[in-house]
Amino acid sequence: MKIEIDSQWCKGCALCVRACKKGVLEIGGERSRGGYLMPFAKNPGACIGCRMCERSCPDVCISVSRE
Amino acid sequence: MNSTAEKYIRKEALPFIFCPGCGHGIVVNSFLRVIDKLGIGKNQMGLVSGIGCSSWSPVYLQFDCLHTLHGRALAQAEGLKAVNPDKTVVVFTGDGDCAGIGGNHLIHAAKRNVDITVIMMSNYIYGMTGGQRAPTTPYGAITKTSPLGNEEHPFDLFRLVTGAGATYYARASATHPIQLDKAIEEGMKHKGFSFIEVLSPCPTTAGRNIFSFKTPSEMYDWYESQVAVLKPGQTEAPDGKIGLGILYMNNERAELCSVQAEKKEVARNEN
Ligand SMILES: Cc1ncc(C[n+]2csc(CCOP(=O)(O)OP(=O)(O)O)c2C)c(N)n1
Ligand code: SF4
Ligand code: SF4
Ligand code: SF4
Ligand SMILES: [Mg+2]
Repeated sequence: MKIEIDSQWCKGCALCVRACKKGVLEIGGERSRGGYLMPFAKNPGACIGCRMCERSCPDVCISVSRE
Repeated sequence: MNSTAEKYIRKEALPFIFCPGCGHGIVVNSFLRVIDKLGIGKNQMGLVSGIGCSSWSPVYLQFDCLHTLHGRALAQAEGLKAVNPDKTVVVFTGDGDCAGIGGNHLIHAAKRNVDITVIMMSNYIYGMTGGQRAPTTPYGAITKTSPLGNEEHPFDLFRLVTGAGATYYARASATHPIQLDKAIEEGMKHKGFSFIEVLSPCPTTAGRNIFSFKTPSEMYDWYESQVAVLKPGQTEAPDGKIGLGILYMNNERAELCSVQAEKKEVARNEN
């Protein structure tokens, strides 16, 4: 699975991290354009492609696709 | 940006005005999945909103949009539908916009059973103006205008809106995006006045005034603990929880624009 987070619009709310029941995502040290600490796929191998992270993002900026 | 949003977002209007973690953005996200699934063309739909954070929702989308006056979204939407009966009309509104200042339009639009879909984002507060009591604010809640605790009970919107004549009522929550999609999709397919009440956490204003959550995630955890997905046919959840699902659907009551069209046809044939 390819997990992409759009650094232009992410507001670092961490709702995607919360939504992922597989522990794939975590807030990291990189900042988005707006200055918010962004999530990253710490554990991409555990992703099952359920897209709950995508559905839970208020800024429509995380996307999951098949590689 | 997710692939559905890519197709419909007006990029030049970004970022969304919403604060980090605001439920309103999750509602927009869900709405885009639904219209994509239903295949609604960009010229087939008109979006209408009033004033408030929630009312900014349609402004970011590549559809015709009327961002109107506070409380007047429904009146404008009824007018739009009356002159464009073939268009899908969707209203994005807040609990203050819809049930507070716009409350009279709400009951009359429901009474007319006009074929529009209303997505009311309820965050228990006037978010945009800094946290005044809304008609949805829970009893006892502390807001800027109820510093000693709300001495009024909130509206029972389900009974109010269906009692007035709405023929579809669903309740959804930003914590449950799959059920949210379903509530919006069925509401858009329904012919008649479709009302979707969405529990939409406001981490900033409600978070600060009514609650004292430190992060959006904490607030969403609390919302999740308060709701339960209803089984088919249920309108109330067990254990005093807030029930999510389609609470009411009535396909018998005639829809306003179709009745008007029929009457016009009869009058024309008589002349
Ligand atoms: C006629 C009028 N009265 C008052 C206001 C101030 N005002 C702007 S938004 C708002 C409340 C919006 O609350 P709600 O609809 O719940 O939206 P939210 O911001 O919570 O999403 C008020 C009172 C206004 N813009 N116009
Ligand atoms: S939910 Fe969206 S905006 Fe929030 S941290 Fe995740 S990617 Fe960023
Ligand atoms: S698609 Fe599912 S499993 Fe993969 S990161 Fe998103 S929420 Fe986690
Ligand atoms: S004030 Fe509340 S409702 Fe308004 S954008 Fe911020 S979080 Fe959302
Ligand atoms: Mg509100």
